[in-house]
Amino acid sequence: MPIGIMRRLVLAIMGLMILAPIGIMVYQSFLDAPFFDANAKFSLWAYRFVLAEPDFWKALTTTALLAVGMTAIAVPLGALLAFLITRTDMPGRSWVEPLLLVPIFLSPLVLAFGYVVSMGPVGFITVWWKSAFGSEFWNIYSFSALILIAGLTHAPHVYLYASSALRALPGDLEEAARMTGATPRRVASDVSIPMIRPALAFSGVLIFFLGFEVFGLPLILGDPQGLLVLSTYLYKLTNKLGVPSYQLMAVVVMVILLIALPLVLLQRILLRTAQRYVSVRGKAVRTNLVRLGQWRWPAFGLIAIWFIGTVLIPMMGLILRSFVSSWGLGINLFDVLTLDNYVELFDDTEVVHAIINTVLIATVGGALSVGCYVLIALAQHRWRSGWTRISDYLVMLPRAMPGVVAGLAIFWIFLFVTPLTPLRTTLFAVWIAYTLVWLAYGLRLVQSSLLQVAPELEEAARVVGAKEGRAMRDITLPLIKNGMVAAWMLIVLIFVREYSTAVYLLGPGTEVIGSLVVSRWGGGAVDLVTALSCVNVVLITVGLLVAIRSGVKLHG
Amino acid sequence: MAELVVEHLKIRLGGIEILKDVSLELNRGEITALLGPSGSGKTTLLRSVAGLEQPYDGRILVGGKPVFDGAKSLNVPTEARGLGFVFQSYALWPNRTVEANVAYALKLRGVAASEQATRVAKTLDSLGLGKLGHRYPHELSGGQQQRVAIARSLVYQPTVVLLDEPLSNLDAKLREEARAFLKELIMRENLAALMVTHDQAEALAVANKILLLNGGYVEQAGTPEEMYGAPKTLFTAEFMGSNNRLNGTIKTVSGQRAALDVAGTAFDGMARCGDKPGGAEGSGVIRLEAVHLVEGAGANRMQFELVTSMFLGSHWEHVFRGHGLNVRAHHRGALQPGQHWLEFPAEQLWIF
Repeated sequence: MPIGIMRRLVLAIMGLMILAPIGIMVYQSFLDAPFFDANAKFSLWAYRFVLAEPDFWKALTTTALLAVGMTAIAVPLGALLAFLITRTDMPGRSWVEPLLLVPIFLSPLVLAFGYVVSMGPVGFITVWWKSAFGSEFWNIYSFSALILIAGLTHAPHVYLYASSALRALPGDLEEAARMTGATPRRVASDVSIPMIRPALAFSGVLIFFLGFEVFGLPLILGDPQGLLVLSTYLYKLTNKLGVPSYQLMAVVVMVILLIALPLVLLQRILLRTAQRYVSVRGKAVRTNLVRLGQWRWPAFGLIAIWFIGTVLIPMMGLILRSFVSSWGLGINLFDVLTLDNYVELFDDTEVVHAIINTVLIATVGGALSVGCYVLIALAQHRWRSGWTRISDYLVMLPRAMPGVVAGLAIFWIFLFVTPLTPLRTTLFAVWIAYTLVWLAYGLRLVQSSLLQVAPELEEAARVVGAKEGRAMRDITLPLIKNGMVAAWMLIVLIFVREYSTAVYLLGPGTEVIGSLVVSRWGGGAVDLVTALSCVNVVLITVGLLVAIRSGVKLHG
Repeated sequence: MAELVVEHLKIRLGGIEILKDVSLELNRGEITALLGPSGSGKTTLLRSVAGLEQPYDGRILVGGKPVFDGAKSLNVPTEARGLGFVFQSYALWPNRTVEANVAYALKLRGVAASEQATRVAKTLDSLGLGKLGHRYPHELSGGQQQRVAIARSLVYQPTVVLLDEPLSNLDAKLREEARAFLKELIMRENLAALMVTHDQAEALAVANKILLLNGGYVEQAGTPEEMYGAPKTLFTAEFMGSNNRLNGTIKTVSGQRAALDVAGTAFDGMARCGDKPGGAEGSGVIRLEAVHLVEGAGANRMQFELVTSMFLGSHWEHVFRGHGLNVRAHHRGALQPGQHWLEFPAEQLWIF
């Protein structure tokens, strides 16, 4: 098949995969009943209903406040962490860095469980605090706790961008400023900070955007107090009217998309600006680290406190809870220690399926997803065409869909397109949803390794007689082999962690760890959920160690 | 019929007109150097011939067969043109051995494995790479990599070879050896070679013919001797070789000769100024080696003060100043500081 047709075909299929779920959302939002209802008519009824709902407006304000609050915490904190790690003589910089990235790879859902079992009303720390000092001063289910936790767990995202911007600052720029007579403080304010400002602006918008997507934290921590954000409001809406209220859900999705899309566009613009600043890559060895003096250990202490609060407390709580049969005031830890929770996991066929399915979808599914991303990236590769530009923008659409929404949209597609319906209860449905949700991320991974293939290597193949497709197969693909393996490993980690995308698709045959723990937590099965969460963390840790051992850069 | 013919080629890249009207002919056993300042379109021309860029008008013929024809919308894809191309960076595939790099073209042409091996071995031998077949590109020196790149582009016996600054990645010493090697190889194989370079010395040394590009047009084309010894335009004169430039006013033009007034002194020179009227601004251009140190005043002579001297090994380069001019001259020996007389022989002074 001629390469031009191949390219168009691949991009057209991609476009269909992206536009179908969005199209069904738009279509459903203008109906007055679920799309499978024969009496459904076009109307604005659903919009009027949702926009007249006080609960919707409350969820929207809560979401906005959460997004603002977590941005206000995560950006300064992440920037400070980046500065301490890359530019100062703080002790232990080199081994602290990988630890900083841990929250990115842990499921927020698992962290939320961890906070509940550690610091909830009957959590380990709460109980111990009570017996030592009396009543605790915190309430894990409050809005301020939710904002704080969301802010703390998202700081690593800011750290990633801020630290790479700081590292990319060519040392000679600062040295040149010093040579012309600027004091270190002037250098910081006139040269260094203006150069990382675009990176901070980008990460600020990114965190604000993620604030509209968070699902796990508010579902676990906000729900008990009736605190809803848009994504959890959507989740709870499922049975609002007693019958499936698809039209209302579609309207909420439209609101989320309308807020998220401009933010995605803004991120794209800001990222370009940020990259313009780092295009000059300095090779100079940086010797002029900022001396912290007496602040060295307080700085280290700050990072330690952040790590304890963000990772250690929830993870220790989670692990401990998974090894006890019950917990509460007046219980002696050593009386309740047990392995039963883990043994029970394997008696529960649903759980066993979930574990197997998770591993399958992450490894085999992840490989297939990377295969799709490679096909798309190759279809766009060195092709100056309107197709490439349009597909570039199309890719941003699924980026604007939170996992819950994408899962819901895929679920509806499988209902709507009747020939596909039998596939809905298979892992294929989950795989499609995962592949779609992580399309932008995976594509970027593949594209960045394609960027490293010098064009003349492909041109050389053309000149000696290879057709375009042959040159791709014989020259380009072998050269990006390592990049593809690295992308696969990162996708494996992400697919193991993923939970929100699969909640609407959960059913016999499609259970994965993430969606199963959401549903079991709702049923109050704390023993099982903590044990299964630990299994999830173990899987992620194994994947992470393999990736690190293979030299994969954890930030693409 | 010339092996490669380019007729009135026009190409636009990213909305910018790169080549506005370029034609050339290239025969077997000939090396044409495409010379010009950066941005003059020389690499674009080379890549258009290879089919790596698409012109919008003009014709390109290889071996008498059109491979591009703007009027007929004919554009034969790169891989079907059967040309050799040596990239500036060599573009050796890093994951393939030398042998595999060279054999790839034969594999694409469906040559049997045993014949592939003999032909690869023969080509590598002829380039002095006989023992390096099993190495990977990164295990080779720059000069060896360049030879592999050449081997890769010759193994399928193209008649036309395109070379994009083939010598620019070699260090100075190696470059001089590679020049001679390249010239000898192209003559021996009876190829038609088109070579991009920005180094006029390299063009003079290697090429039989030079095509000087400027702003998308051919400024001047000719043999190296013509380009160096008889430039038709100021641009050509200044681009080829190291020059002094004397700015003044044109006094008279008569036939082959012209007279130029520079700071009150009259200079006779070769007229290159067309029909410029007397009193117009003019420039005298003369090669550094054509300026002579002389004793005392005379025709086409002027007195200058020595500013500084540089020893260049085989000779000295002296820098003089006076009459609002800076003049450089080559000379066998060192000079005392002070005033010196310089002569600008009329036959070698071009007046534009």
